[in-house]
Amino acid sequence: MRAEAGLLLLVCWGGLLAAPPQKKKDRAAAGYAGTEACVACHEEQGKGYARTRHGALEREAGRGWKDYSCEACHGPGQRHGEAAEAKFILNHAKAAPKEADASCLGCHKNQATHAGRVHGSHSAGQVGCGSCHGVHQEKPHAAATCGGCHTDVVAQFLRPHAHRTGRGAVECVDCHNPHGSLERAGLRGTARTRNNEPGCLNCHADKRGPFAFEHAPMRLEGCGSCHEAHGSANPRMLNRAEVMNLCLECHANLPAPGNRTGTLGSVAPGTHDLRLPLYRNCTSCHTKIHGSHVNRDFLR
Amino acid sequence: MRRTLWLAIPMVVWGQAPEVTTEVGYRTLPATRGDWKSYRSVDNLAAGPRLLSFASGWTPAKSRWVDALRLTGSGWGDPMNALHLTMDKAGLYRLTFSYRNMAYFSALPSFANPLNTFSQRSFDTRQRLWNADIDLRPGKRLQPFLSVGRQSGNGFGVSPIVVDENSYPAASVIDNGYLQFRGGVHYDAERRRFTLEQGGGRFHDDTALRIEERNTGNRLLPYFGRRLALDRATQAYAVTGQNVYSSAEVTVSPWRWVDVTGQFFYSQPNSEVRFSENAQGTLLWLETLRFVNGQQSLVTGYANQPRTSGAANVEVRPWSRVRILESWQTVRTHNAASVAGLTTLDGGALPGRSAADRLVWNQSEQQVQAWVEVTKLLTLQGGHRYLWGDAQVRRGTLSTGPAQETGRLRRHVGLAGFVLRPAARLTVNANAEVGRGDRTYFRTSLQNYERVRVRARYRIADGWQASGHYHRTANGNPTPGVNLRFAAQQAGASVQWTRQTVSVTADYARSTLWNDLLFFEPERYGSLRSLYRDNAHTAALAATWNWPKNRGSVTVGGSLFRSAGSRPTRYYQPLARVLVPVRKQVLLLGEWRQVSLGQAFYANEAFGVQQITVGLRLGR
Repeated sequence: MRAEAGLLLLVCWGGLLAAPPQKKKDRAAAGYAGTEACVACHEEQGKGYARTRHGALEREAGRGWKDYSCEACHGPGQRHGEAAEAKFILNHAKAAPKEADASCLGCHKNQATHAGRVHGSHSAGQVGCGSCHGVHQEKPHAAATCGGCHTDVVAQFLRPHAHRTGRGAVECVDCHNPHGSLERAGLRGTARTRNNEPGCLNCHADKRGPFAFEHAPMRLEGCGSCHEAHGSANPRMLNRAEVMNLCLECHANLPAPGNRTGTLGSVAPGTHDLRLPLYRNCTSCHTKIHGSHVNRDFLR
Repeated sequence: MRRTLWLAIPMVVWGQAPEVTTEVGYRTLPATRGDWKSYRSVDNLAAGPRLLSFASGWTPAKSRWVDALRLTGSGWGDPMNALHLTMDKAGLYRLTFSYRNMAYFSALPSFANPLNTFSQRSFDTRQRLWNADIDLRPGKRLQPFLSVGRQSGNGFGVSPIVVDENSYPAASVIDNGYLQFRGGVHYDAERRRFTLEQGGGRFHDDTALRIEERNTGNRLLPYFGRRLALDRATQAYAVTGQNVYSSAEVTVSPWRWVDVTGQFFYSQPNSEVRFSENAQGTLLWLETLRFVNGQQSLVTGYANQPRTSGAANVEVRPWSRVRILESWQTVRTHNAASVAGLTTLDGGALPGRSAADRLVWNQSEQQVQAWVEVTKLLTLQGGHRYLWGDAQVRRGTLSTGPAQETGRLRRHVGLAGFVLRPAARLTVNANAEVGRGDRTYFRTSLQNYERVRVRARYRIADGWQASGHYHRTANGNPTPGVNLRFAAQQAGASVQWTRQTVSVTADYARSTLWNDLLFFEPERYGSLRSLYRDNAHTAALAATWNWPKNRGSVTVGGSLFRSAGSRPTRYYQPLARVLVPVRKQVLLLGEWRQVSLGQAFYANEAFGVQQITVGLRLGR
């Protein structure tokens, strides 16, 4: 019984590691048609594919798919070629994402950018690899690629004060990892970089700290607790129309022993007369609002 | 002859002519109205010659060192320009290099002092970023990698110098930079993968403020009969710091139906500061309510912030139609700092002072989620998330009690959703979260919330697609004294129609946001209501007619944003673009674009600018 189980395990293991047939006659027997046969009908795809990174499969014999590179992803195509019927070939655009992705992840699962793939919202929502990646023609890492589905976010970028995506310098992938992260974005509000920091600090390095006097929301809930990162009608991309409202909505816990509301944020002193413009614009005095190295009230 | 030979070398090496496409042009701004600073803060495209974009790619037929090389760039001469290079050789290396240079400008008026017509918080800086990554032996079992990059920002601006009871706008010089490097190794096997990485960086942030003539600041009213003013002042901030981090990631699939992933991250950034300030004028020393003519401060400080984060996840697929994911994550941050300072008033030194501060934050999250493929047309998902954490921060200046305040987080979240494919061309994706908590860090944080997201996409025919989305988030905190009520929703539709000669993309979204919260008014010791409304329409259109055989095109469209509520805003960007073939591989390029902004409450920020660009597109 144990021997049978061992044999079964060996067969399964062997099956998993089995490479595609290497010799042409073996491939033909296994139902492969060859790149030449594919490109005879799918000329445009063939030309585009040759220019992509995947084209290396066709150019490099060492990768095991030379002369059969189309079928590395689409599976054996002999029957499809003979019958000229779509049902006999894997078409990633029309297949269920699970099937299509299985084909891609056969090679790409173990890549650094994919480490958190299973946690990404794309994976949860069954968004297939082909939704973003063009295999026959590489799609750029541009806002337009993401905007095809995330039309709600595109709308936010059309507000006057926004990160200027689409001009080549700032793109969605500068802040987001579309493959997902081992650590869900929801934990801190913004995706983290390799430095164990919010992605925003890649460009806004002067907000990095660590500060002697930290402003707690920046660490606890991230930049998004005050800013609308995609776009806003407010010049500072704030979540509220006026600075005063944004600050005082949190700084409203009366000075009393104990913490009655259970939230952080103490009140401003009584000398702050909110009828005066000086006090309505909190950051005109609390200049180091992201954190200060020298002043506990962020005044300098 | 030498030049000809030099040009010929790449052809010999690559064996194939490179493909190059370039767009060059000249932009004019024939009609401008309104606030130029506002325009620069929003759009910032100026007149002049431009290298609008270029893209070149080489795919040599046979090369020992290069499989493909691609160089792209855009916006040279414009406020945002970029250069990207990718180069690889299968099994040997993959190199990516990027350079970005972004104008970071903001000079919108500040309302701290209505008599000041300039912004008190403005900056005119350049952000430059470059990064070079090289992955060695890509696709092989053991893959070392190295990366180096630098971010820098420098320029000028205006920022207030704050002395007791008044703030004085001062000219500032800004200079900051961060140099980072990292290296490590990936191990890639069929069922086991790990990455070990070590990295770090050094940064500096220097800011200098200067006032050289009498400045009465933002306080319009006298203080005990005297008008506060600065005659001369300088402030210098010098921050240096470094960060070292280590990380490890592992993915193991012991069986085909189980994936175990884990991540560990430890970083320890620190910073050191030297601060000096010298102010002369009619100043107030608030602690003793005493007027002084000169005040000098010297402060040094040090902060250290070790952070540890980790995640562990198990994905199980016991049957082909069932997927279960259990994950746990944690973040632990501890900021400890000390500051020492010396102050001199009118030449007399006050006793030296020192202070220590700390912030401790621990947060964890546990989630279990399951997906069940009921049929090929329907996948259901459901799960539960539990978040808990605590944070200790220094108490407010006016608060009594211990030096540290503690905030806590405790929230249970139910998760549900489905993916429905009733037809091959239609996909509906929906998910919902219902969160209930009894502890939260801030009054505006998520506590008792509901979130729904629905997205549908219908491929009407090849090249013709319609999609729609609906999002809603409602949050509330019923704690007496908080009484938060928040709701935001957005609904939108999009149509894409692409044919050989014509393509049309149209998007429309309607969003509403509603926030109602009581806050404390310090001066009258009463409550005020913060009501925030934002009801917006956003639309975008791009209609393109392509000449046959890709010989040119005409595009018209643009975008509009109109909002009502707390900050009514109108923002339009109509555009028209034409590409006319002149000769083989040469197209004449013309673009007209208008950018206009109007704000009902902040009318002085309005502007309207027309941009006309004429140029050539060269290449295939």
